[in-house]
Amino acid sequence: MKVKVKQWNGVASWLWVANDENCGICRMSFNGCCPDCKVPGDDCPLVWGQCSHCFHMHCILKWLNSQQVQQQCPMCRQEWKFKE
Amino acid sequence: MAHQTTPSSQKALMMELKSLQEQPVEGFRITLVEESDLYNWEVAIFGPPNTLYEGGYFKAHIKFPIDYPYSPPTFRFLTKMWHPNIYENGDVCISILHPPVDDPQSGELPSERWNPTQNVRTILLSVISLLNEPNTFSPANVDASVMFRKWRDSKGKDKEYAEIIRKQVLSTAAEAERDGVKVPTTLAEYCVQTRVPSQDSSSDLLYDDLYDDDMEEEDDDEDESEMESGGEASTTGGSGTSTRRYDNQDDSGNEDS
Repeated sequence: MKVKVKQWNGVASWLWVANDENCGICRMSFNGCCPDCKVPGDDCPLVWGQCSHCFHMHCILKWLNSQQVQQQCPMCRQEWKFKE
Repeated sequence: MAHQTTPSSQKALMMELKSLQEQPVEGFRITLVEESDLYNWEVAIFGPPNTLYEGGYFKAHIKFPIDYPYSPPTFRFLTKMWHPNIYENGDVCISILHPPVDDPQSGELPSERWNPTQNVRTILLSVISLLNEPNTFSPANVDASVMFRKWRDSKGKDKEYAEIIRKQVLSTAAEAERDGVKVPTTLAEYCVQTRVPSQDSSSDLLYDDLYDDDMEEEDDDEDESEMESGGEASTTGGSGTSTRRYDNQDDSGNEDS
């Protein structure tokens, strides 16, 4: 029997590899998006601090921008520095 | 983002409420003041057994700001409380409910203040531990604080503080009856059995994927050790442990001779 493939659809799944399931700020899943976004993925990325804690980028920026004093990681309260 | 109508705080509050009703914090019961308003919660607190507050039934309201969890909620007792860290109007004074503004007068470090990873669960735990362990360094009720220190420093001989609290506790019985609530007075009743949330299968799959490699490695190790012991067993020729032991004894005998 010979099979001729006329058409095929590739399907892929992806997930963020983070050390937790949910964002500690908005409490939404890392594989979903922050509450202000509609679509998960590159438009609502995760970012890591040098302390190794991870958040939705939008969530941590919102928090850092609201801080008048020293900017700290909300988890461990170390000074927040983005991991390169 | 600009067209957004439901604030993100709504999602966060909905999730927290659900989690607290499914897995409550010991001694707390949470409801909404009005079904339609997620930003106003009513909390019923049972006094912890073996403390001055045993048998007490206290009510409080938690009010959330629209930008929660970026700003803290307020926690206000409706029941009259005589406590060093509770204001006359019922407002609770704990550092984690204060936004981290730079205020050297407060004596609170920014690191002890509110941040968005705090949640209602951590607030409730702070409140319940505050009841029996007041912080006398920044009292909200100075008279209560002085009285508490006298009671504590006299190791309970100066009974004024304890008596006021017991009186307040007893006066909450009417409210409990009105709500049809039986206040737990033993530790067994107080400590609720929390149900372990059922792991949904999708997250299981995720873990399987992540840890597959490690698992295989471990399997390999086990295989090897099984092989070794298998080899050993075959040399001694025994199938049961007793036979093997017998054979070993025999071997040692051979060596001796």
